[in-house]
Amino acid sequence: MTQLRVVLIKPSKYSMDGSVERFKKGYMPNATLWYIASLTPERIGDVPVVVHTVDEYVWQNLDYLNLLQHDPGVVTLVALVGVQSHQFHRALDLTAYALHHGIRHCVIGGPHPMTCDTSSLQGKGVSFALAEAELIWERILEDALAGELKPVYGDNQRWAKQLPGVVINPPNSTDLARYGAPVLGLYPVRGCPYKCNFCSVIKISGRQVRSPDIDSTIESLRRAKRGGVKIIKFVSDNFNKFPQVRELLHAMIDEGLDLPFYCQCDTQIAKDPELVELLGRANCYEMFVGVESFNRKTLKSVGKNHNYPEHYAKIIQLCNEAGIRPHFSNIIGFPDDDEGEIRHHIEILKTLRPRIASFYILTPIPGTEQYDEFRTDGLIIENNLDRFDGSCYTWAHPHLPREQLENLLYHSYVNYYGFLLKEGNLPDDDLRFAVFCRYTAGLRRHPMAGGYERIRVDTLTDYSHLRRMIFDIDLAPLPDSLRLSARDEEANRRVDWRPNKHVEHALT
Amino acid sequence: MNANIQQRVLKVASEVLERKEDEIQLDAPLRDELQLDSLKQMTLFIALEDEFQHTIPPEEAEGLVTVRDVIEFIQRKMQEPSLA
Repeated sequence: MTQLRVVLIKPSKYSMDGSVERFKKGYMPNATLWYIASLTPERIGDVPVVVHTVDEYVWQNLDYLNLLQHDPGVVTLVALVGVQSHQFHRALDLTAYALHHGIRHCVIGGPHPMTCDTSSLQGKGVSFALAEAELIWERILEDALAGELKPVYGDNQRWAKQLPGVVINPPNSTDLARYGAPVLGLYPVRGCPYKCNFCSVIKISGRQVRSPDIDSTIESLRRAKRGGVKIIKFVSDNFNKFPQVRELLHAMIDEGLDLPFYCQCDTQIAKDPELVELLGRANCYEMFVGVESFNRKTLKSVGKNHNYPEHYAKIIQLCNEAGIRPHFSNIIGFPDDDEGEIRHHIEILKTLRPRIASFYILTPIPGTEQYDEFRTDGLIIENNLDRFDGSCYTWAHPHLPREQLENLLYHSYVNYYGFLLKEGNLPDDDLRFAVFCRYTAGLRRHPMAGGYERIRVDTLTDYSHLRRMIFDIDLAPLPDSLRLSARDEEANRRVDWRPNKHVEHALT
Repeated sequence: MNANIQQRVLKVASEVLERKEDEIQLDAPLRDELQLDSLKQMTLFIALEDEFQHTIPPEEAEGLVTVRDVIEFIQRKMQEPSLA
């Protein structure tokens, strides 16, 4: 045997027209893809390991399918990483393609297999990874070399207790050029202490906030800078709940890294002006905040109790003062919403004027509490997982039929960005983005789909026969949510972590 | 060419391109002579969408080289049901 060839693929999804969604330029490299690549050793024993990475969203030709074909003398492991429910069919089809072309080792990992029951698809030649990579990746690599993968990995423990300090090797210049700017996504902290019932994060990463040592993140940033990366996206869900956030930001300032970065914070950031000021000094250029709704009753009904709409204006103010672009993420189509409520939401948003706003339709993501509730109540009417992407009508809304809600989604973008453009005086980057969002939404395409300028290369019909041949299905059945093991349940229950307790008491 | 549509397209184009209407030659290449970069192109298409209630997808816009092409495209689009 000459080598172990590891083909890591972030699968795309099938669009409404059946095409595999691909773009001339993407927004950013998938963080998981480069994390797993960096987690993979250069050798296992005497055998060299060669890693190939493919982000399907930005691959404009199908050359990479050659990697999914048997090559004598090489052991090939095909790993579909970071697979979300709306990407699951695409992941299945790529493994079906690989199996049909003589590959023996395929594994699918990420949010969908971690949180959803895939047992009806197991035992058909593809393995499923039910746990974080730190717990199982080394074993998967060894088993591939030894000749056989297990049907399932990590079924009794979803989360690693501690995260190792993995230093990320950035994409090379060819791969970076596939994106609108040379961007790298980093995930320095995992977990979320909250209990929003529509969110999959606490099922994917748990409620215990965990992070590797700061040194590994700083070294990843150094390598990124040396490798030509110009922008960092910290895609962790609650950057402000990261216990070492100040330590990291000071280290970034001391290093003089001069790398503009994006981060995601929860709305409690309104009570932490010092942190916002520090973020600005460390070169944060955009802060994503999941405001979701301006209706406190709606927020409480979905367990987002920590969002107080009266504090949203403070977030805008603090960001503006710190030179940070606030990005408000909004959800439309909560059960109590009607058209008037959604239009009212946009009008309030206009008074606050966040420089970036994104909109999504409330989607019962498989594996979440809300999905289970909606399913029990017989509300889910969409049976194709491709459509569970936040832009489609998937459940029977009590007040809003499909056409009306989907129209309102695009109207939200058109109306809000049309407003910003009419107001004028936008900085160059904001102007470009506002024009792009306004134009794209006018075409009834979701501006946040992942890239610029769609291209059509291949379609579902090129692969559906393989899905039928290997898995004997046209569509994967809507899954049951996967229950946590007793160990993971206990870990989730014991979480008691409130980093800003003193501040919360002062302001709520 | 429909004179009314031509006049309206020229008015919109003059605002986006920041030129007087009579400075815009119908057969002038949009990119080279009128300096229509990708940002201005999207801005023009948005303004035309607001004016005529028809969208211009990028894949359909590839063949629009001159203002005359745009006017003829809008004329064809006007035969289709509008967004409004």
